[in-house]
Amino acid sequence: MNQFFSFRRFSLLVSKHWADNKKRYLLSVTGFALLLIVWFIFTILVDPHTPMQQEIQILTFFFSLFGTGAFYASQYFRDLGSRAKGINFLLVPASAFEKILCSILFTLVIFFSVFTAVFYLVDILMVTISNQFTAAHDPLRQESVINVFRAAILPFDEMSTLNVLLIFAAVQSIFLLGSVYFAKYSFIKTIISSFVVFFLLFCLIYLLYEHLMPRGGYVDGFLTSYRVTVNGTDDHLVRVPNWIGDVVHFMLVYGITPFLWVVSYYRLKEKQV
Amino acid sequence: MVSIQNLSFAYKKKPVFDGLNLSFHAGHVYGLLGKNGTGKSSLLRNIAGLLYPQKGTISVNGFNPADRLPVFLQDVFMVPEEFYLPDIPVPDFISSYVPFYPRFNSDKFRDYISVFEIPSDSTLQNMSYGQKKKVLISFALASNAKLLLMDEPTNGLDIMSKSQLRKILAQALDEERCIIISTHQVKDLENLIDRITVIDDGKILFDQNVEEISRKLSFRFAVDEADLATALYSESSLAGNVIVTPSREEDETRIDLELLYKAIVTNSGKMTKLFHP
Repeated sequence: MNQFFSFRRFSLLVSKHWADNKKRYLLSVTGFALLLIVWFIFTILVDPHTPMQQEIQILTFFFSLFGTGAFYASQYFRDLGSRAKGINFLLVPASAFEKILCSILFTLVIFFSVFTAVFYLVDILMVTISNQFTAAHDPLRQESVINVFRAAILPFDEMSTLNVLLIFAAVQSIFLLGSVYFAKYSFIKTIISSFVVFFLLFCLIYLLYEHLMPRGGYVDGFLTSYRVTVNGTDDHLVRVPNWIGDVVHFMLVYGITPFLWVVSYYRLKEKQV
Repeated sequence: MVSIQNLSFAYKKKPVFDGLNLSFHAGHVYGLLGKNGTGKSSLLRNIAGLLYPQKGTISVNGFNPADRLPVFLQDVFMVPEEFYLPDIPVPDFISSYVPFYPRFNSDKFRDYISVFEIPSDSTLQNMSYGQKKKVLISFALASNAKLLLMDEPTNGLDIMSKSQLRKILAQALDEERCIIISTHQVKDLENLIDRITVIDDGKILFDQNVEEISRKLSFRFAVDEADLATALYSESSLAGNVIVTPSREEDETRIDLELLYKAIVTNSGKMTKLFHP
């Protein structure tokens, strides 16, 4: 049998993960649904004249999706922080690739699907109740359930669904990596580390821009054209080929998440307990 | 089965092994004895692929443990001193873990569980530490893994369970299987171990099979002062002085693992000379 990936072993691993964690997961889902109901009731009480506005629904969806998703991903490999649990996890006869793939399935695909289903279940319920409540005072005002993937409040274009998924996948992969790296307090440590990395990256780009580039400025969105200012009159436009911009754009949009998964895979392979 | 060549291993600042050579073969139960913190558990975790050596090689059934390949993990089962079992009923545990071990014998598992008197329908998290350990040991033996690594397996077991464990382990040993037991409770595993390896300060202080030990050492009460003078180790008790002494031809005494261990640790020079003249 292939020692890198076997579909049979992968499905066994998924079943085992579900069997080990189903009690925790079912409790968490129930707890989340109840919290969502409490939150929507609170917003209705705060603003009884225009309850369940679309902005509230959208913000609730995205804040809770990214918040709970990141926290869940940061906890996925928490077993590695304990010797007893780490031994149990690492000695399960499955490859590191299968274990990482299982983590991606749960933290990305299953989490997103379950989260969205629970959100809509609660949202539809609360919008219906809220509309019945307001119908008595203002029959014309009826709020509808929002399509979170076509939300006007956020600057999404026709590719909005894909954009949301890509951003969500990138955030999840950052916290999944943090979960493999940090034995304890992985959620907080990942947030701090991410800030440090982004700050250092920003400083590096700023320093390079300030000290290496001649006086002038970029003239398009993808940083492929640069206008060099010479005495304000004799300006030059420097262009790099479009394909470089396309490659950079592609790597930023589609490359970060798989790259972080690969780093997590190697980190898991070298993990010792 | 297990071949360790020139193994060097250290935690961040604390060296544990430096140039360790050792081998373990199928068909034997090895007792890995030593004081706390001498590296017994670290050695087991190196063999299981949970820790990686800084130098040297370990080969287990022809595999490098550090690769942690599924085919390697199917044939190595470790019962650690600190272990974890999920909070699920025993039947669920069996149904989700058994498929990973192709040679798992469910009938034997039920037998072991019944010998240990574990109620099969209870939830693992509701069990006591000892009961959970017995479930894990039963699973380990029923997995039919060729290499079984047990770190302090008798810790947390009551007196009856210890004797049940000895009985089960003796039954589970076959020519294809190697069992390595790390313990400091040497008394618990008497009559079970057939080769004794003592680790001290990251080195092998003693490594002999039980037949050789019985042939060369005698464990008895001292008869006179001359006995005490020639003893490799002596200990006073209410009934007199118990000694470990080089065997006379007519002697046929049972090995007392605790006395043997004390003799090795306190008089390693003479013990080495006796076994490697």
